[in-house]
Amino acid sequence: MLPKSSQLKQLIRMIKTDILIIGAGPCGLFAVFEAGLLKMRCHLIDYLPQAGGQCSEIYPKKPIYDIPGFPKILAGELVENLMEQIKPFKPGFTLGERVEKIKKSQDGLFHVTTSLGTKHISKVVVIAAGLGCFEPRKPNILNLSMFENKGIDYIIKDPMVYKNKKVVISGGGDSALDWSIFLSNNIASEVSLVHRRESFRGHPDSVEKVNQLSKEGKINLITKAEVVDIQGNDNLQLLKIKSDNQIFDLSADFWIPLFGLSPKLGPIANWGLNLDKNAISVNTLDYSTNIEGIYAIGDINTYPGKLKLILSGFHEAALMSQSAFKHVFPDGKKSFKYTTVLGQIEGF
Amino acid sequence: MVKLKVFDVEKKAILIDNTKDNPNNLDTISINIIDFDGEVYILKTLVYPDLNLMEVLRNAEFHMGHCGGMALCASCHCYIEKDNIKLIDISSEEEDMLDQLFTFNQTKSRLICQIPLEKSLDGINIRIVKD
Ligand SMILES: Cc1cc2nc3c(=O)[nH]c(=O)nc-3n(C[C@H](O)[C@H](O)[C@H](O)COP(=O)(O)OP(=O)(O)OC[C@H]3O[C@@H](n4cnc5c(N)ncnc54)[C@H](O)[C@@H]3O)c2cc1C
Ligand code: FES
Repeated sequence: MLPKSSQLKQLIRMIKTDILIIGAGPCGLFAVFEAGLLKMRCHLIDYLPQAGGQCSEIYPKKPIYDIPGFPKILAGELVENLMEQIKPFKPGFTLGERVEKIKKSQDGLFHVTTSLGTKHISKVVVIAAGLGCFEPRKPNILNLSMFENKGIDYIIKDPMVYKNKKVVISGGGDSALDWSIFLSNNIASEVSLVHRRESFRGHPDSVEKVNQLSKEGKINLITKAEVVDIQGNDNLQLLKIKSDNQIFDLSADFWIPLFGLSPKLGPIANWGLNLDKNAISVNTLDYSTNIEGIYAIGDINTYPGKLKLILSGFHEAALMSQSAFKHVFPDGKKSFKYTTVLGQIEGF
Repeated sequence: MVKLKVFDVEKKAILIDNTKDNPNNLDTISINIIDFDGEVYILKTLVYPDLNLMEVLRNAEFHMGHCGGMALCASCHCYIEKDNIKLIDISSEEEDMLDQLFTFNQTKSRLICQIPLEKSLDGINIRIVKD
């Protein structure tokens, strides 16, 4: 099972660690393992509510054929295996939050702040941000930003927020179907599902279930329709729905447009790092960036001959960890050991 | 610089000529592109077998192709003006992805990773859509 943000909700608002990893995709996850072997503790931050990056978000059910030692493995399984492999090193997670700012203080420590204000302090920062931050595809509607987090949610982190509320979901894929089914089961007081087409492209079982719930009056199914306007005072109150060239009102406490996520470089561009197009330039000796103590591994980095492969990111994670050691334990002496020599992986 | 009219935009076009090295005497075609920042390009390319339109644009340094051409990311979403050009039909995978996009246009939207590179694409007009 992948961790869900709701289960891992951080109660402590200041998180301290040796290595802070921005991005919990496959490369960020494997970095925890390589760092752990050298007794360095890691904490990962990701905007997605689950770990796994592209593998979880874009293609969890697709088989990958070029992971060494696995003739074929589903992307989702690879992530589960990585989570299992890093378990002994007890990484922390801040999920569902986007890293906005990185500041280096005079003592060399990094202060990293997220979109929800969670503060992290670390000796080393590793940027494993892939293609960038997965951000929701937003409908092109006036006043949208006025109601974000005031009735409009793009990602569901804690379904209990919708308890006894009138919820409208837009979209035709699996997440729109699955959440409609879930929330209609004694959580929301009213669930409407608005979809542009008549047919749904989700899993046939889910489509059948939604149709069934619609017949039972538990889901208000509105097809060949889209939300064209939103209204409210402080919070969202009303959606205008266009269907067959007619516009009607639908009262709503929440509107959840689920139209998938797409990666955007986002705040990384403002951190003073040397960029080449949409990637961070690194030194291939150890994948360090132009800022001492900040490394970049995986799809986010670039160097001559770079291949955007999981395999390359794993290698980069290993070399990065060897180099990061000097920042974490300036007086420490590391010796290189095979995991076979270490025997059972000793965690924290 | 040639002045080019692509969709409703008439602007000086930047020429990208990737046809100079052609030992196998492949056919040459010309693709008219408006990037999402409004810049207009004429991309001359050889008709390599087994490439798709996204790969040709990506090789010319247009930023797209995150999913490698599996109709899973929409980074290659473009509006296409067809004129007399017959394009391969939209598959259900492509339709599923397009359906998620607010910028979807019933007559013009395509994921160009799903369009094989062919001689018949010569003169095609493409507008890259910002996701
Ligand atoms: C359809 C498809 C098929 C593929 N097939 C293969 C294959 O067969 N073999 C192969 O080797 N590779 C394949 N890849 C590529 C592979 O998935 C990537 O190389 C890999 O996911 C990169 O891992 P990563 O950890 O660097 O980044 P990602 O997996 O992109 O993860 C980065 C994470 O960082 C997060 N993030 C970014 N910025 C921020 C921020 N500011 N704050 C918080 N979080 C942030 C993102 O939300 C994301 O979750 C495929 C990719 C796709 C899309
Ligand atoms: S490259 Fe991903 S959809 Fe075309």
